Amino acid sequence: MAHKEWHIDRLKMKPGLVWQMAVNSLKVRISRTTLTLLTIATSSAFLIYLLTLPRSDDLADQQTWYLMLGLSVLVSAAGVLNTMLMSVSQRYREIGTMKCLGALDKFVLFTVMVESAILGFVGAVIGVLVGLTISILLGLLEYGFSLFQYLQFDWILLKILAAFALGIFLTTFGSSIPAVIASRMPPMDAMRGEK
Amino acid sequence: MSSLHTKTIPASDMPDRPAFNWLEDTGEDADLTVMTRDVTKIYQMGEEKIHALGGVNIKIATGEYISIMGPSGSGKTTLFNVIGGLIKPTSGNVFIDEIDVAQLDANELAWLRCRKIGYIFQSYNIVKVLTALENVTLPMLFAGVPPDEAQDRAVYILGRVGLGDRVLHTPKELSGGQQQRVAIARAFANKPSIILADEPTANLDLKTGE
Ligand SMILES: Nc1ncnc2c1ncn2[C@@H]1O[C@H](COP(=O)(O)OP(=O)(O)O)[C@@H](O)[C@H]1O
Ligand SMILES: [Mg+2]
Repeated sequence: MAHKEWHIDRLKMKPGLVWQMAVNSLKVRISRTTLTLLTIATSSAFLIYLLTLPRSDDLADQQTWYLMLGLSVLVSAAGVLNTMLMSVSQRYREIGTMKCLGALDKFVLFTVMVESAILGFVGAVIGVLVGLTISILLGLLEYGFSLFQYLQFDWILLKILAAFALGIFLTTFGSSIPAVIASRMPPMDAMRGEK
Repeated sequence: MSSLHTKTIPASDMPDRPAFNWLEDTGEDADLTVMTRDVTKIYQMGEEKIHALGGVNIKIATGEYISIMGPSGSGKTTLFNVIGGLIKPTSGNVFIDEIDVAQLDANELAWLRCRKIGYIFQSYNIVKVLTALENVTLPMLFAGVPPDEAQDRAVYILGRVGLGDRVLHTPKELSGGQQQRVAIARAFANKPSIILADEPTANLDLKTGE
């Protein structure tokens, strides 16, 4: 058999292209992007609102507060995870196609993760701003200008950070599972995996 | 180098068809681009096993133009996918330019799909969120071609398939035939050694040059 001289180069992932694809995907699917942002923003807004609510000495009130906190985190988690799972599993065909064109597994994975992280970050920014505004406005109504004596604005940076962590963790975690699966599939199986 | 000639291979019927062998007249020294050895593919659908390929042996020499014909369900698309490294065969080997595809790791497989093979799918499969230009540019970017160069070449190829004035359109703004031409342009982007086309029907007689 005639010997052929060709060697296989290793393809490199271009971070610039990952970013470009992620941003493009968010722009083109603007209605989905908006909807996802809303889900995340609502979650972080409610979390930050709860975290800055006035302290109560009443034990029953405190228990209700913890219950609300727990439930709200759970409900947001379910909502955001579901949104992210859906949005990735609707893209198996696109992922399969890109793999046919020579996309590396990690290119596919990173693109989805960067996209999710952007959603989580922007959603959290909006959520924190809205949550703090609501908290302050309601505080003003209730307590007038002495609101900061009542609202729990201690550790505020940490609380904001928690809202961010929640947003970004939920989006990236929610999309990572289907993204890992899709990125590792042979391209045709990925295309067929679409529901 | 072998001259361009056409052969038609019948894909035999499902399900208990004999394995089709086509090993004759490509001599020992021919420049082989594709070779398969006893390739089978069995799809498992719950309890049921579907034997889509029952031991396929083919050799395709460099420069050869081959069409594979057969009724629907006879395994043409499955063979296309197996040769293209898009699904794994259940058994047997596929060699592209004498390299056993099964030996390649994920990165090397991506390289093979990127540089060695151009695919034209039955259902176009162009990326919906990208313009015609971006669709054709993408495989070149994956291959490491500088963006400006990739774009120039994409514009050139799109012009060659008659879409010079549709470059910035997205798939939903294009007719089926135009989408097919985008897919054809994309398949040629990285100057692959093999073009695999799955029932490209109406529009392939356009320009397959290169
Ligand atoms: N992903 C799949 N899962 C299960 N069965 C499949 C799958 N793809 C193809 N088949 C079956 O394999 C056989 C060959 O299909 P295919 O290769 O698509 O034929 P063709 O392209 O010649 O019409 C058919 O019986 C089909 O139903
Ligand atoms: Mg078919």
